[in-house]
Amino acid sequence: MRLLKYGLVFIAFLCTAFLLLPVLALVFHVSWSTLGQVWRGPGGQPFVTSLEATMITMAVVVVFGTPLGWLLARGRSRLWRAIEYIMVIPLLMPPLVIGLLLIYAYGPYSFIGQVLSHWHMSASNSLLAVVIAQIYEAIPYYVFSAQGAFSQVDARFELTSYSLGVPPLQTFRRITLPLALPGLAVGFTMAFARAIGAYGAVMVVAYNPHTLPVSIWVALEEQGLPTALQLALLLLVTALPLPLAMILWRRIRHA
Amino acid sequence: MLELSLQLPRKSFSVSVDLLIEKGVVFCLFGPSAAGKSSILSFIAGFETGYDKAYLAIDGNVLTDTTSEASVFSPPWQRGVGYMEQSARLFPHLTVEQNILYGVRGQRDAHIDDIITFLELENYLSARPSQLSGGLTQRVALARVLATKPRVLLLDEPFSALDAIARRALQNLVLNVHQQFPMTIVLVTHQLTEAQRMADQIALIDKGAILQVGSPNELMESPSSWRAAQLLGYVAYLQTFAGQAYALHPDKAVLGRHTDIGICVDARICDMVWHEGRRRALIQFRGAKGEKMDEVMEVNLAPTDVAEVGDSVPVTFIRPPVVSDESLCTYWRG
Repeated sequence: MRLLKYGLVFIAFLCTAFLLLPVLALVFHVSWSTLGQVWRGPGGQPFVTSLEATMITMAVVVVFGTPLGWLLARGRSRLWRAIEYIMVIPLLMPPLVIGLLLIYAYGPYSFIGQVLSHWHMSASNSLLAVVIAQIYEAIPYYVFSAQGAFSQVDARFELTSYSLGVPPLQTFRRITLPLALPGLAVGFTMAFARAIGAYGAVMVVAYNPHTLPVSIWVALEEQGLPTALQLALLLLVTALPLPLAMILWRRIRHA
Repeated sequence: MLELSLQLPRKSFSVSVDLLIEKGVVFCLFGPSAAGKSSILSFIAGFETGYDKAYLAIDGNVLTDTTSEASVFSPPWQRGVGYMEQSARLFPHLTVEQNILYGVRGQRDAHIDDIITFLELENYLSARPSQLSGGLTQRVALARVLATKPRVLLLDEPFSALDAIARRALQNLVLNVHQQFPMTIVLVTHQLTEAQRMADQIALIDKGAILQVGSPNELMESPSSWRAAQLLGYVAYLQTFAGQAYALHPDKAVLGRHTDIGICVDARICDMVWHEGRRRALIQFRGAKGEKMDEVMEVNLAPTDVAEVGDSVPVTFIRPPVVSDESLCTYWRG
């Protein structure tokens, strides 16, 4: 029994080490003092683009994904089950394929692309293109988390609220949303990580302006691994604080 | 006055009821589980919508009406109907005080203070629902409903999850609340003692239909059918040679021959059991010629009764009501 226990612990440590080793290698290999130089040099503009695009993406994801998650959780009709299947598609498709489909659907030669061009906008090689690609990749993570979070909230809380004279929208704001918040936060974090790290689809629809993941690839191609690693560290420093803070918040909340 | 007419299809049966509930009374819907009681309450609250035909009016104000050309449906948040169930469903992310004030428009006023004082919740206002006991949770839920000043308070088996002591305390509290803050209360329960203890009027409901409506005393004195009698705790009936069937109740029997107050039957004590703090004798009737009958029934014994297993005793059933069902075709049934 004891041998089995030690064996399981060893396997757990092995798995953790496998995940952690590349991150540690990066952290110890790259000089932290050069982070500022990277920020002022090749990483500055991609960092701003990535952050700007991700903030817009997350705003869109939350505004549209929250009601959709609620409807998927509460809806009984076949329509919502069908939409649930549709939401799985971006999760199953390779990012590169997503990029190709997006350029075909929203690119300059598509109907929507031509409509956009009338408004002097383009869904190719622009911030809008980055946002579209990020949304496509990130929104299922948020929607499914939101669906799970809302499913966890007992619908009878909402009925109780109605019986106390509080209409549905207020009930959603005062009861459903606060109770679903931890699950929504998980979804937000996963979608954020997915959006800021989106590479395949973004590469196809918006090589320019460079986002951080694209600039890492470009640096690797043109300048080699050392420069690419410095940018990779910058991406990690940008992307990791939010998920880590969320994990910490959940720990404190449940303590 | 609450007027209600409902036809609601269900998987195994249809709920079909017509009720008139006087203003200010404690009205109880009593019946076995899955008889349609909670569906009626849900309908009054505005949660139930899958009905064929429905009419509901409170004090002349029509809340649901599918019978007229212009169909009426008032949503739950506009009904002024409070709803409380077995699970108190206090909002877990709010404190007790925030829960109580949840449905209150405006500031905390004297009415709220009265409720908090009356229900003795002053010391728990800053507590979270997870920190409260079952009885306390129900008190907070009651305070939360009362704070909205409902015209009608619906109680859907609110005490069933509590232990006997907490249940009794809360029953008393609800009755006191009813005196202090007058309103119509509609209570659903499947416990007869609870229904009789709390209600001014009881509706016996079975398989979606109302069997009988009356005061607890009226129902006990004259159940309308054998099924109604069974719901009221009558466990057997005795059919006489004259063709009358008398319903027999364990609590309405005494050992001894008292022909002036009821019907006397010879019986033999087969066993003794305890029931809710009282001794009960399992008796087996003897026929007119002393022959044994198959079935047995329980009768409560008075503390002064001296009886042992095996004793042959006369048992008097005090003023047993006559039930006249065509289904009562056998001489004796348990």
